[in-house]
Amino acid sequence: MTKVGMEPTSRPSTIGTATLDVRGDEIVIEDLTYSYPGSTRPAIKDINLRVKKGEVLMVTGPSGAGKTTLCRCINGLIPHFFGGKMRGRVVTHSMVTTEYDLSTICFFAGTLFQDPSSQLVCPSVEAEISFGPENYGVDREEIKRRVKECIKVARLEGYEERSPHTLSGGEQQACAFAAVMAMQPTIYVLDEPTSELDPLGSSRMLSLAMSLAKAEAKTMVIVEHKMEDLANLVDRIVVIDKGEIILEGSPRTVLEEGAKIMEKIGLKPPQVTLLASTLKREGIELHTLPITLEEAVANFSKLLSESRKVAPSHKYTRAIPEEKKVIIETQGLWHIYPRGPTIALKDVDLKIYEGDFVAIIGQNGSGKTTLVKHFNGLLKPTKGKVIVDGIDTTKASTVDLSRIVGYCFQNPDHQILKRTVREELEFGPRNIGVPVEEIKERVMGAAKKTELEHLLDDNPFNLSKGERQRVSVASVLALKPKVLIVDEPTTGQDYKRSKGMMDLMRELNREGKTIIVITHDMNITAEYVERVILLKKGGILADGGVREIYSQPELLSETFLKPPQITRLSQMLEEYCFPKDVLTVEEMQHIMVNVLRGV
Amino acid sequence: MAFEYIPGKTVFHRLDPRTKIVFFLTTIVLEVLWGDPIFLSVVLVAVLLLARLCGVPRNVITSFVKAVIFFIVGYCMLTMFFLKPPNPHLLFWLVRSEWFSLPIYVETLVQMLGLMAKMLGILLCVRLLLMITPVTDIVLGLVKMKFPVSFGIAMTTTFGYVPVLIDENRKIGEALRSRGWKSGGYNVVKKLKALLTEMLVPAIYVSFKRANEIAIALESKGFSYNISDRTFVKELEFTGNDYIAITILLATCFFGVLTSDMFLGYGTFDGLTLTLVKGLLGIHD
Repeated sequence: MTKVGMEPTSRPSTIGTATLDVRGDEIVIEDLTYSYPGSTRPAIKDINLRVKKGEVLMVTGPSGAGKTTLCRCINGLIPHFFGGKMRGRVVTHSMVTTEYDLSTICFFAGTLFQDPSSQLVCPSVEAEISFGPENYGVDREEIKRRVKECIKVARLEGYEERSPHTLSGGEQQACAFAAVMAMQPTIYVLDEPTSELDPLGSSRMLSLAMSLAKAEAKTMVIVEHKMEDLANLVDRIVVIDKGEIILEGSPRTVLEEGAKIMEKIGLKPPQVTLLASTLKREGIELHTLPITLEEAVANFSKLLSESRKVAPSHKYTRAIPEEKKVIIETQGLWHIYPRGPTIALKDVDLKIYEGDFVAIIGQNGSGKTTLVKHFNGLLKPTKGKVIVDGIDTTKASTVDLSRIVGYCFQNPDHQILKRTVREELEFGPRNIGVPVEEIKERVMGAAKKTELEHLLDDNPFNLSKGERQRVSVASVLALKPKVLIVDEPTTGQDYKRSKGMMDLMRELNREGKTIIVITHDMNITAEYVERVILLKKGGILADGGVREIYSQPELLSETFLKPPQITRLSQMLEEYCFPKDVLTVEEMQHIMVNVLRGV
Repeated sequence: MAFEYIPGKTVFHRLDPRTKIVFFLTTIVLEVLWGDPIFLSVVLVAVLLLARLCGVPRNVITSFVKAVIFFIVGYCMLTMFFLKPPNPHLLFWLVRSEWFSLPIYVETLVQMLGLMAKMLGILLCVRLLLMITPVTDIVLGLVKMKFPVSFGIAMTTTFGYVPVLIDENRKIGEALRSRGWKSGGYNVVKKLKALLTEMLVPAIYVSFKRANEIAIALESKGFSYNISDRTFVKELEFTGNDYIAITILLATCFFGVLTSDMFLGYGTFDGLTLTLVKGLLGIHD
């Protein structure tokens, strides 16, 4: 068996390549319909798609549309691993996927999955990266060279011997990507590769993928929700809804012609594109529809300089905090994890007031989750104090504190344990000894608020992820906490679902609950929260009104974040006196209309 | 974490994994052949000493011992209560009533002490082996010792999977506690009941899901491509130290066999310690 640069031997295809008519395309999908075992409804249907060598294709669509299923068809996991019913055919790197072994297909089509920790299988970073090439019998010296190179490209130097599971989310994803890269596939299938990453971490990951595509003519299929980050990077966008391709074309064509359809299925185009199309409805038209920030800046600058208009001088007013009751207070809070040891929090002084709607933001590993776990006693301070509603958390258990502080975890699967949604919602109140009659009342109240009344007798494990997430919120609401902490409520969700979740939070906040959100999603934060606490390496970098913080991009970039695209647009139009703290598209539209019409 | 490798540059770290496997096997042979508390305590002390020489921090050892000691003591107590050796000598009655009596015999007490030292010795030895050898090296050692490659890889991924499961279970526990769930505190019965009734469902669900994800990850990295012709990046080589260590280990094994039931019998449970204790208590058979 030859080792270096060898292509895997495999069973010969029963269909000769001559009849495949791949015309040099790396991926050819013809009339593909597929249903998972036990399901009568096809997950994808009548898909026809061709991807050229070196092309970068973005696949997007609402959650549950069939994007991941499509990826699994390309890399052969369907039907080899999942079984099910498949009609039509998929040709990956000239191989009809049903005719070749899974491991042979995977040699050419490397896959990066959404959750980095689920694909790291080895005890050290180095072993992880060499695992793929080792399986394919690549020469020892060649593997060593690849491992060294991939570690460098993924910026994991110094972590060679560490267990991948001790890395931060961003580092884990980089390691998982390096492990795919070391296999040197010709096709990369990236299934939501940035969903767990902070904004700058995602940009880094995407630019790494792009540089591979450009420099080495690798074919990329990227499943993503983040159109803003990808609109100027990809060659083509395919939009899938309910298992079918509903839009396909260059980013510009899709965004120009498909705006209405995308809106209907709950996808959000880049903010600048949205701004331009809403302005068009108001009669203000740009030369071309901008799909990237740079294009928008150029377009609007031109429009503004032609009309010689500037925005009226703007001075943002900082909301003066009213006299509100402090509900959570940390005094000189330190937390040191014994492993390492790692200093996760250092000297955090913080006050959260009753009725606040706060976002805690910061890069991966900045200490956000560690901080909030102190609020309900899951973690106790190494040094300093945490006082929740007048109670010192070192003197109370999580059980006691759960009456005051509710905590919704990122992954609902970690807390669902009952056979019906109703029992699930009863679990919390029963634990804290609420009388039976009141439990019923609370369950109904929580179900109503989260629109789960019709699902009360359903098995929570059979619900969709969005519904399960609502079950997890409802089960915490049934405890009637004064404070609600939600950890990454919008991760991996499409815009419609994220918005639904945040609307619920806003409503609860208006009813008087204190809401604390941990997130990377800068657009959602801008739209909903009032106050932002910015963390960096375990300390508070800034704490203030959302406008105040977002108007300082240099501050945000210190912790690997960047303001929403629309805020950056306004900041880049500074010479026309645009304010630096615009938060939403509607706000920007309003200002732009006023400026251009001279109001 | 239960299977954490602690990097180091001591002479023991640098030994070939096959030598370390022989060390592990020697310890197991001694633990199996011997039953005498004094002999087994010597093994235990030797393992502890070795751990310190390898630069394993004291708190790592103590926290490990703390984690397993309840289980060991509990198990040994049960054994002591329900085992009745032939021709026993009563030491005292732990409970004596009409309905229920628990006699403590000299023989069972000695046997229990031996069993405790034995269990702790074995567990510490496994822990030490994993602390000074990356799992990938152990697997490679096993493969070189003609174990099947697929077994080796399965073992590597299992070790990779354990920290994931521990982490998942921690998250489940936290999510449940946040909803007022009481894990039972120090009451073992309550704790067990709480674990079985509440935590089991999400734990099983999540571990199945995880196992499935890991299977997908393995398959998509060509795990089953051509397993017998797989490359192992790392090369193994025996050095002078390995030969010295193996000689010492074989000699120890020989000593173990010599003092076992088969020959001299000092190391068995009715060996040295029991004779000494009986002598001290003035018991004559």
